[in-house]
Amino acid sequence: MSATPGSVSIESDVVFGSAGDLELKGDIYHPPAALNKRTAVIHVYGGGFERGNRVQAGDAAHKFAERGYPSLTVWHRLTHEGKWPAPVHDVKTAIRWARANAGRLAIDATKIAVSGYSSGGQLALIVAGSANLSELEGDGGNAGRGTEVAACVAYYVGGPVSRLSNGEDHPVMPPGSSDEAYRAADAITYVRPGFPPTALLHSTTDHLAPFELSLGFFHALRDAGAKAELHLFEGLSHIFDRYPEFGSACADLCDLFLDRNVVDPRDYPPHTPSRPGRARRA
Amino acid sequence: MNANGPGGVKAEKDIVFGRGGDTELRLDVLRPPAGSEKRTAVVHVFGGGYTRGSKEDGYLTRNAQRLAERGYVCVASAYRHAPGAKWPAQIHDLKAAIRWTRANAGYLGVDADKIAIAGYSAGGQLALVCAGTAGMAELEGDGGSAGVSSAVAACLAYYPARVWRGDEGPSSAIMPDDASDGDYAATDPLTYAAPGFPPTIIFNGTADPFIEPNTRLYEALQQAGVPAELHLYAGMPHIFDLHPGFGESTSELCDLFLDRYVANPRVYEGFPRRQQAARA
Repeated sequence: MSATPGSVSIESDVVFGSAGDLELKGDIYHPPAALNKRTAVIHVYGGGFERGNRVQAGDAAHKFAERGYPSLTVWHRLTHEGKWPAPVHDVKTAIRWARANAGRLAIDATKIAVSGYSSGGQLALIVAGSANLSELEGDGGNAGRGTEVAACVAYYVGGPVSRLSNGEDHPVMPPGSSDEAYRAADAITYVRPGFPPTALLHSTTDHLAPFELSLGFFHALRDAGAKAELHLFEGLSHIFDRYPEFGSACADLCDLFLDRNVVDPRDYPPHTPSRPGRARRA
Repeated sequence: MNANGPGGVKAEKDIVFGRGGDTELRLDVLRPPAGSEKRTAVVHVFGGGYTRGSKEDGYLTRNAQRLAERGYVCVASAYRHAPGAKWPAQIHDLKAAIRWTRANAGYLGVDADKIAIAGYSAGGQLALVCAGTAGMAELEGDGGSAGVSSAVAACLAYYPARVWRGDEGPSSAIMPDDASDGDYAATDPLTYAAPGFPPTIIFNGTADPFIEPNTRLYEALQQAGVPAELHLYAGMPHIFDLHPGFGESTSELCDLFLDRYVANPRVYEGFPRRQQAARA
């Protein structure tokens, strides 16, 4: 672990759990101590469950850490390492680990958020909506700790897994998966009152994951009475936060969102226009 | 008056730009710090339910200050209040301000084709209508700078309000008693959501009731192929940008938007084709 005062320090290859014989590893991005908001963010990479690795979420994790959030990029198993719900188990294992290691992360154990990217966004939303649901918990470590999250962020969320056009199962799904199994792998299934506050960020010219996924999820959360935020950027593609100016803008929006919903939860009063006569007399 | 203010921004106050009926119309100009100029002007339109408000209101002046610090020439325009002046007098006044800005592009140090409009609440509705009605003779009015185009290159709509029939408040103040359904439709930005509408960014809090018409407007602009952004801040009320942090946020997003659509037009590359076959 390297640290210079005032900068983000990175602790690599931290084992946060196991999956059979595999050790699950993550990288911790520690904020400068003076900026610590005592709220952790678990970052979930994308790649369609078939490829990708946690390094992809490193830039975002760094940006969140710069803004005061201890951040953990976590490995989840890919198609060739484990079938559904293996990736959900692994992300939940990371949440339990963070809760059990609140002191090490210098966080409040009730303040853990999850942020996912592309297919990782779909995973993050599933995890946010399925707290402590026994069949999705797995046995990766720190059994008995809760997996509830205080908020969820999804960048350019990827669509739920579905059968291939030839009728075969999606590679991440166990062969012969039922319709019910596919529904259980779709975040929209878990939308309900009490879904954690959720921010969705997407670009409208994303040809890999249409922005309607975020727009539809936003409406579903609102209809359920959950707190939701939506940012639709124009003229950018999938993974638009790779452009530094947009990566910073997204991290700023997430900071504003997490700060008022998790770090220091607060409501804003409705605007009441002053009546001209009264205002003048004052 | 030309004073160096905070952030190196220079202010000029109360320049007469035209006339609305018997009323002299004035505007304020904020110029960006030397070296930061983006040669793009933003005309700001205050809110206040059509019956009150001024170019000096805090949400407007703070936004104008922040955008000026980011390199934009900001013009805060007056327009006539209802009920003394009825629709479309406000549009006539604001189009005169846009025409004045274009006619004075050299003086302001901006390119004549790089003029955007920003509006707040009722001013957001007025800004959107101005943006969607370039070249419509009946909405130009005769407030000054005749013969100059009132087209804008982009629109920044902060929690834009609406005029609707049956509202006893602002709408009845601004609309003539004998207004027809067509007159009401002419006040609705949705009426103008068609190809050619300028690039538009919309901000709204999710606790602000204007979220419904503004989300519909956004969806209509997308359908029409208009570059459009929508930013809905969870739990935030009307005029949320007065709260600490939120004005900075909307200004950052406006700068990113104006910079790539107006000041320095550019296209961002797609996600590498090599990886486009991958499942999301």
